[in-house]
Amino acid sequence: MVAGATKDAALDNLSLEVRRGALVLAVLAALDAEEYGYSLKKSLAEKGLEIDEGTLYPLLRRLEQQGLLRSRWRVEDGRPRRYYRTSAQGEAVRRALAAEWDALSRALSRLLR
Amino acid sequence: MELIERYVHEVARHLPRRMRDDVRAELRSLLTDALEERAAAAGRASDDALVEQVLREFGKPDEVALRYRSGPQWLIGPELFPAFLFTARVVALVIAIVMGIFLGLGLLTDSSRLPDFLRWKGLLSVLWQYARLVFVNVAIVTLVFAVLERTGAASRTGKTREEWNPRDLPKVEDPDRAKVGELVFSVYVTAILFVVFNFYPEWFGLVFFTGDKVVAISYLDLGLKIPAALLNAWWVFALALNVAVLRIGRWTPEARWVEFALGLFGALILFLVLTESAVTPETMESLVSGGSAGSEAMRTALERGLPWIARPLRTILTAILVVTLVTSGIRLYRLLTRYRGAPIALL
Repeated sequence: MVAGATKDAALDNLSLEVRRGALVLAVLAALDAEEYGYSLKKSLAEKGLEIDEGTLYPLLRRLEQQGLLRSRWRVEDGRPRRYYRTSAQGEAVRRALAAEWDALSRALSRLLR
Repeated sequence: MELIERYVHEVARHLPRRMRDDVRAELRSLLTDALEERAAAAGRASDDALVEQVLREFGKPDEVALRYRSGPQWLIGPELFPAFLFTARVVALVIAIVMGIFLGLGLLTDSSRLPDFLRWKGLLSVLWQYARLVFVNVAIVTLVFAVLERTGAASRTGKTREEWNPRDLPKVEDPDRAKVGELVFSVYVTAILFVVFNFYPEWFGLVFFTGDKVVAISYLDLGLKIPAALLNAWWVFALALNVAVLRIGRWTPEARWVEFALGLFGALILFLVLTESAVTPETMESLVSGGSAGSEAMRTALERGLPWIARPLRTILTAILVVTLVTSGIRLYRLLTRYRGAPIALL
């Protein structure tokens, strides 16, 4: 039972590692239109990418600190919300990461075949 | 809603002050969004059970806060940690040796204390003093390394991935490679001597550990005349040299020349101390008998300690001078043979 739990935890960690790299690219790609945290989470989920809120929101702030996103506060439905959008620098990073992703994906497909 | 407010504050509490207000406002709004949608999906008004569910899914406040923080989350990073460990060990060892010497001298000059010392209480008291000294000194070393970490000394000694060249790898036995632990230890000792000499001169001299208390005879009481300005200048130069080598990461030819010059400068200071001071067995005797030694405790320490140390003080100082001169000679020989043709920028 314990061994099974350890195995599950190890698998969770490995999946997390795989997803972590893809997450930045997904966020940069999704934010070519302005979104706030919760709406971004929903639009990613609709496209099949479920992300924990506790992971996604801090990631948005970190990407903004790195200059890859820009943000502004807007009041909507009487509630202040922080809207994010990919910056010019973020766009360049997105293109580079997308090329990297394509190459990696092709290589892995061949390996897994 | 009160739970959301408590959660938001708990996350912010773990964040740097400048981020707090912003993260609080954003989290509050995001959690409210999530809660509203959860309530709509459940077809009921939001209640504490729903709030709990949302917060539980969001994660533990300290873990969420950690994800907000970028940059290293350590006091001493992996680059400096081996050097820190080395320095801390050397400090602990040096304290053990110095305490051992003082204790030995104390017992030699007053053997009546030996039985007391051999009892559990005596041993425990020595161990306790050792633990206290190690704790304070390792804390100071930690502080020095934390400052080095934050001022970027670690990254300056390293190169970026583009600059790095396998041909620059140090030789297996490279005498010019800067040993961070040794350099930090030198900086540490020099800084302590500088502070003691200038701010606590009464402790600069001979120190006796008599078992239950420490007695010091300052260099002034011993009749030593030290050219303070020159010695201070020497310490400042030595500090600057060690810090510079630490930042460059190597002993460059220039740094080796400065090291050599500092050796000669030190020898000059020692020579001046020897010629200007009236340290003779006679003056030592008069120190004891004439009462110029100050307190009763100091007189007692002088009576017991002088036969062992103070009388040959002149010989000891002369020996240090000779060793300094010989070391300088060896350094000069190495400089002339190893760095022949190397540019000398500082001299």
